Amino acid sequence: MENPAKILLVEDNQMDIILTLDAFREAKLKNEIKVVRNGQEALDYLLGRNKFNDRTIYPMPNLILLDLKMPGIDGFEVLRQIKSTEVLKRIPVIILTSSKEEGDRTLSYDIGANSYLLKPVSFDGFTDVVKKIDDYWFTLNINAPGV
Amino acid sequence: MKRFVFKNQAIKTKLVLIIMSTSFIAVIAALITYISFDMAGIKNDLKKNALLNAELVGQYSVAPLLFGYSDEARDILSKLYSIPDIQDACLYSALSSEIIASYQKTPDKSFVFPSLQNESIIFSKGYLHIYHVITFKEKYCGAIYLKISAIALKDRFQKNLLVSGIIIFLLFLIVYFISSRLQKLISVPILKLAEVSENLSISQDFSNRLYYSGNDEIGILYQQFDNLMFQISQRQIERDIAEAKLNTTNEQLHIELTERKQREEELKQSEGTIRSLFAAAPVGIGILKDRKQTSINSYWCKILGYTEENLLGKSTRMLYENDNEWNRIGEVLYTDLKGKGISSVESRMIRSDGTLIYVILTIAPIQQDNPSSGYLGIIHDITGRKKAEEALRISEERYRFLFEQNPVPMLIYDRNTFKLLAINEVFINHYGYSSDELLSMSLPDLYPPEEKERIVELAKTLQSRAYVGEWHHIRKDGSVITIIVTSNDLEYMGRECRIAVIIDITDRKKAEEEIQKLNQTLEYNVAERTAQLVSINKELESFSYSISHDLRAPLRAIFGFSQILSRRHRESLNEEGRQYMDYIVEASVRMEQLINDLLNYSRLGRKSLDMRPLSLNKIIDTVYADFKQRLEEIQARFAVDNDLPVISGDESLLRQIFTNLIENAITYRRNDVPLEIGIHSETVSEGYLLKIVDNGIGIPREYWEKIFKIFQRLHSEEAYPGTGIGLATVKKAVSLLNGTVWVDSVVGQGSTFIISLPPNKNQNGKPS
Repeated sequence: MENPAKILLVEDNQMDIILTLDAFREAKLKNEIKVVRNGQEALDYLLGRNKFNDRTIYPMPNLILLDLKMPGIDGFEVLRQIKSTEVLKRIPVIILTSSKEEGDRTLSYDIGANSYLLKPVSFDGFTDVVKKIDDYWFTLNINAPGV
Repeated sequence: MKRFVFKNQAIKTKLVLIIMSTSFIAVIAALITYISFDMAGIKNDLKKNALLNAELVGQYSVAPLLFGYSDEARDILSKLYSIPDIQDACLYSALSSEIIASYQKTPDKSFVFPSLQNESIIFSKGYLHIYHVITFKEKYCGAIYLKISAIALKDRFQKNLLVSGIIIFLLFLIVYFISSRLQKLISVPILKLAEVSENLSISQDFSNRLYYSGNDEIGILYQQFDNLMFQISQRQIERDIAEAKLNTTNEQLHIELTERKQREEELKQSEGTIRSLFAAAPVGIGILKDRKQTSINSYWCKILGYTEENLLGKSTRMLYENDNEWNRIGEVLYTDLKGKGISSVESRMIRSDGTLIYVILTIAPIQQDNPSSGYLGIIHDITGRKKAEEALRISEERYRFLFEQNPVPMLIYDRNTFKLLAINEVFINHYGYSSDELLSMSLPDLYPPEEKERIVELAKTLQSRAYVGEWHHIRKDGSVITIIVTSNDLEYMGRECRIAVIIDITDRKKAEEEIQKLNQTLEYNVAERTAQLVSINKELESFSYSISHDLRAPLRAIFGFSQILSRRHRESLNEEGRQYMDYIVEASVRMEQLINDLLNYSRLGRKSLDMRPLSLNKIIDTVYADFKQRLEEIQARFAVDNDLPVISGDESLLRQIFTNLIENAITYRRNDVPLEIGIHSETVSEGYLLKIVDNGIGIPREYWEKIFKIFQRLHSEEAYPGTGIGLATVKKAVSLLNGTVWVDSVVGQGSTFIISLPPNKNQNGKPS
């Protein structure tokens, strides 16, 4: 792949952001990872609104990693909007959360999550998860055209 | 086909047949004679003609014969073709007797001319063969042979037969016509005679007369027959008169006989009736003369217990207790009899076995105007009736006692008028009315106004059955009591009544109502408390869930960064720093385990149950797959019955249960022996028992219940790592499946966890 796939990470916890990014580094993955800190920002980024209107700096991602529990617009709302917006709905969305709750799982899949992953507690766990994400979603999986 | 028998034919047919056969024989004879003569003549003509032809040809052939000119001779013979009847001819020479010339009308090589024979004419096979000697001037010149067809003869014979046939047929018709006319002259009178005699034998009427005009033999026959008939008819008349007389006498005799028979029958019947009455009557009947038993029936003997021989001829004194009684009976009966002709008296008699019986004695003279003919005596045993009367009296007394002395109120009312007819002492005391007041009241008067109508409606339907019901009564002081009344039919003083037993349950009712009230309050309180508890429980569960959940984020930071530090910056730390960093990582691992266990535990309470039939073997297979590597590493034996039941349960709960129990067995294994885990099942009446058996360190009895409580641990974290939540989770999951779990263990030998699950009743069960 000439251009490594671009990932949008939607996460409000600073330490989880660092761990995730560090895990990508540890796994020696070259993906370009853009980070937004809440639901509002995530939607703005994806729709190219406000400060994100320059696609050369804020390109359309090939994959979205989405936390559920966020202040304001939460992960479910973001997912619902993505899946009901024509230009966004085919981008794979992976829920990355610490909740194993039945209700959360059911709702996520109901509104169109493509995958549901549990945030590992250990750093090794994180590294393992991002490796597997890369393996599956960028090597094995074939995206919809234009994604 | 019926055989034709001449003698059975009608006389008409016989006459016709006789005439026709006679004529037929005559005609046949005439025709045969005629045809014979005719044929003989024709034959003679044929011979003459042939001889003439032979002579003629012979004379022509003299010269060739004499000179042996066979060619000339053949010429002459060939002239014969003008006579068509000549078939073959030849000439024999005088010298050699050889054939010198021959002729054939139709040449036939196979025909052989016969050798010379003497002068002769022969008929053979439809041909005439002629051998004729030819002489010239009385000198033998040779001979000639001619074969002439006799077909003319045959034709003539056939013609004759045809003509004869026609003649016979015509004659036959004529004869039949004539004979069938003529036969009537004889047959008609004979047939008539036959007809008359046949009619006579049917009608038996000989008064008809016969007439015939002729004086021939038939006339004489008619005359004789007529005379005979006249005489028979005379005799018949005489006989009829005699017969009529005889009949009258017979009838009178018959009537007399029938009447006598009837009288005899009546007499016999009446005697039979009396005899069977005597024998079969269910009363003792005897004939008494001078108070001696001269004849008695079997019932008489039966009543008194004697055989007939014991009693016959004996005085009736033996049947009584003493002389006085015997004399009294005699006086009463016989004195009484003088006025009425029949009398009876009640007395007692002694049976053969000494027992006393009550009897009614009845006597009547056999002949009213002649007492010396004896008396008819009847004994009627009334002991049974006497006893029944006595029993009834005792029973009535007993019931009266039961009624009067009964400790509960009782009453008797008329079923038709509802009037109260009797009440017992207790009733009077309980209700406060006087006896007189009650006896003037009727049933509805006892009831409160709202029940009066209903009790009357009900009472109308009560008949031939017992009734039990709850009602209210009003006492004289106006107080209302609740009663249970039991009633049934009773005949009392000749009336259709009902007897009722009344139990006052007013106090009991009150007590019951109070208990019910208390119960309701209690139920309400319990429900309220349960609801409160459920709600508190929920709150607690969700509280512990969010705590554990929120604990994860900081833990991730501690764990994640300490791992990064211990990996990437290990070298820049001194020994102590490295040691502490490892402690942080280790603590993080335990913390994560603790949080996971807590989350699992609290999640159970909020989980929706998905109950469906599940194969336990399948579930354990999946769980085993997770442990396979670890179990192999420690060389553990894992044995599962392969016939575990299919039960109704929630898959994730069951997996949780088995995961935790296996995890537990691994944690608390003994170090000196390889671990053995066994899973077995039993079907019992209450459902299923699942047993998870290990050979671990075991649990002392005092901890058997404690271990199922959350955070209860028996061992230090260092000795056996664990969170103290696993078994609590098992207990909770089992109880969510409506089951129970307990442990049985021997320290140092192992533990058996027993799970009891209910049978598969509600497969679609929803969580309660």
